[in-house]
Amino acid sequence: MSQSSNPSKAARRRAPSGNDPSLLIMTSLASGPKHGYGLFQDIESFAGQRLGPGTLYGAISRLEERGLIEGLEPEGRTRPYRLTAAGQLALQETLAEMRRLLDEGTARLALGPRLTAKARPA
Amino acid sequence: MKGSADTGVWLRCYPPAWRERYGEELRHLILASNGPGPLPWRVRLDLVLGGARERLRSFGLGGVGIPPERRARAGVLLVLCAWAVMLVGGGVLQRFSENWKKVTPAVHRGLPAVAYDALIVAAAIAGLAVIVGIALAIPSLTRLLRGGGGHELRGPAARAVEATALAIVASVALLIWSHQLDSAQRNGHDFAYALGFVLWGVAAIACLASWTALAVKAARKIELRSSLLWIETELAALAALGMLCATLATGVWWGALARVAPGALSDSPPGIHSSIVTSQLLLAGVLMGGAACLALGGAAYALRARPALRD
Repeated sequence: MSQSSNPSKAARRRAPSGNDPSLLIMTSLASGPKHGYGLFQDIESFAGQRLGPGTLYGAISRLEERGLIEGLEPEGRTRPYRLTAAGQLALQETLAEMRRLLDEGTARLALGPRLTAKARPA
Repeated sequence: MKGSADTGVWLRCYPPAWRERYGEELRHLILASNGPGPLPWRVRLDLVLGGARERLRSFGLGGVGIPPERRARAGVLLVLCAWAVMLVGGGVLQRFSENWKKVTPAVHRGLPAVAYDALIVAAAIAGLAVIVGIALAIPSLTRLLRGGGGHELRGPAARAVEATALAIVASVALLIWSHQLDSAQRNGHDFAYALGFVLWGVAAIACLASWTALAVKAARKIELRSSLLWIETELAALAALGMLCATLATGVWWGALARVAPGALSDSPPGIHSSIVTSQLLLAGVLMGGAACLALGGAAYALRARPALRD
């Protein structure tokens, strides 16, 4: 079965996650260019996550390959990265999707839990 | 500096091209975030996993953003690697099963014989698909070599030739030796010959592995038209199916023989109970089963990439 014929699976695959290294990097770069260690420190400060160096650079290489970020001129042994226009658009779309999910979840919680017939106590 | 040397070792998990682009930055990050001391195990594990991911990606496997041509080619090459493993498993099985008909009463040979024939037919179909797939890629390889793009293949080609020469010498030596022994000595009762046979097996596997490595390296370098890649995926699927059928037929042959003539699966004299699971048969089963799974995975990966191939 192709991916497009299974929308729920495709949707799950696309669903943004708050601890996705790519999303964390793009969010960090939204405030300006940073090199690897700058990203590492910034992500730790705003998300409380210490990304492993392999995880961080794996995500950087993928984002660069997809044209969502780009490397600037090297500064010594490091190279700053910045969001491209496509990266800004992708980040906006992802955050909008997360906001929709956040609003939906908040609204449902406000209505209170509705127990299913199976879970309802006798 | 200890940390720096330590980092260099772990960075070798990554493919050379990736290291060339990101290695220095990654080294800087590791040293800046961990200091000069030995790396924590958490970081080492992260580097090993990251390196494995990048190596898979460089092969065209896993992750998003890999072009369909590379994914299809990677799937086809997985099937080729699986075929090499299948040949080793098949070789072990052939060695083990060469006398089964002699020691099995004719009345009990029915189902095992059918399964064994099915195994040979399925393996022949898979082998034919692999050979046709390789043959179709030869014009592209010739173009690569004529264009001077074959310099990276010299090292693997030299290793393949060396391994082949070693395997030929080992085969001739073993053949001469075996003619001086009786049947029992050739079948495990002579320790020195058994050891020699194992060493011959290692040489044969090294030969097969070196040619497979050369084929994979060459296949990643050559230009393949989408139409040809399309055919290669069909052949890969056929080869994978053949390997699956051969593995299933082996299972049926094994099960049927274990039921009607268990003595054929061991060297025990009639009437003496022995296990129907011998180490050779188990090894053959594991290799063939593993190869079939790898081939099916590779074929499925290639077929999934196929609709996106450009015309």
